[in-house]
Amino acid sequence: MPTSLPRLNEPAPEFEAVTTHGVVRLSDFRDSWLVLFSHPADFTPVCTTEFVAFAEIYPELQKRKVELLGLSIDSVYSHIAWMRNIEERMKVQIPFPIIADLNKEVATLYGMIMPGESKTETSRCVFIIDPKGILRAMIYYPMALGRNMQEILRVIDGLQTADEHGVAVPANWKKGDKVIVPAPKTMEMAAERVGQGYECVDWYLCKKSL
Amino acid sequence: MPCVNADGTLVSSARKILEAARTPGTPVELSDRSRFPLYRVHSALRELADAGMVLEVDGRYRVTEVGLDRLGTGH
Repeated sequence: MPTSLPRLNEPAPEFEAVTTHGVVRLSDFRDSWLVLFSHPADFTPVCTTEFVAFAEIYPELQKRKVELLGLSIDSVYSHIAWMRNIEERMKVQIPFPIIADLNKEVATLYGMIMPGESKTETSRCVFIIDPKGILRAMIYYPMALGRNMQEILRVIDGLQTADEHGVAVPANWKKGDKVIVPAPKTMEMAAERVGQGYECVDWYLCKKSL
Repeated sequence: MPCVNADGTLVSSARKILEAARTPGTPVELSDRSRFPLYRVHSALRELADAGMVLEVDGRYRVTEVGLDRLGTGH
């Protein structure tokens, strides 16, 4: 199977996969947001801290109508043993399913394997897919670096805010901050932008509160 | 089959989703009634349909005679 990389604002590649919650398809998540993420391997230290952290933000994700779906190139038995170990040792229940991608089918479809890092393990990839099945954001982390859960929440908040209000969000934006009014596309719109009550640095950079 | 235990009994999630389908409903309605996430309902309904325990008509699922037998509650 050729390695492919998904592209933003295109339909996320469909798949059917064995998970710790049974066989699921990507389309089963339609109508909710989905964070599809890969980790290098079960029973490894950084991944364990990430799973605990993902479980901790799960209630916040649920408030935003977001589901989580993990993936690694391990068997479902390995996943089950690792989840049980995390629960036993760290008293944390992992509430979301994990794909057992032993044949690397989904990993290949989503370009999760970075041969420069490892030919047998997936890197720390995050794909944010909207309720219509469109891929909206991708974040890739190297194996040595655990993910920042607050950034994942921030990306979801930003996308949902942008969709709901037809705006963009500035650097380091967080929920509650001012948002960016889309830049004018014509001279007429640029001229009319002045006096519309926005907080403008200049005609192309205006902010407003929601 | 993840919906069925080794002893042939239904796993609790499948049982709850099947119970919810006593009244025909869409996956969204069955998700609300069973309190399982929608993806789990979709996944379970595929397996239950393959096993003849639910029937889909126009996007709505209802438990079949086979399903009622498996619930062990009679017809």
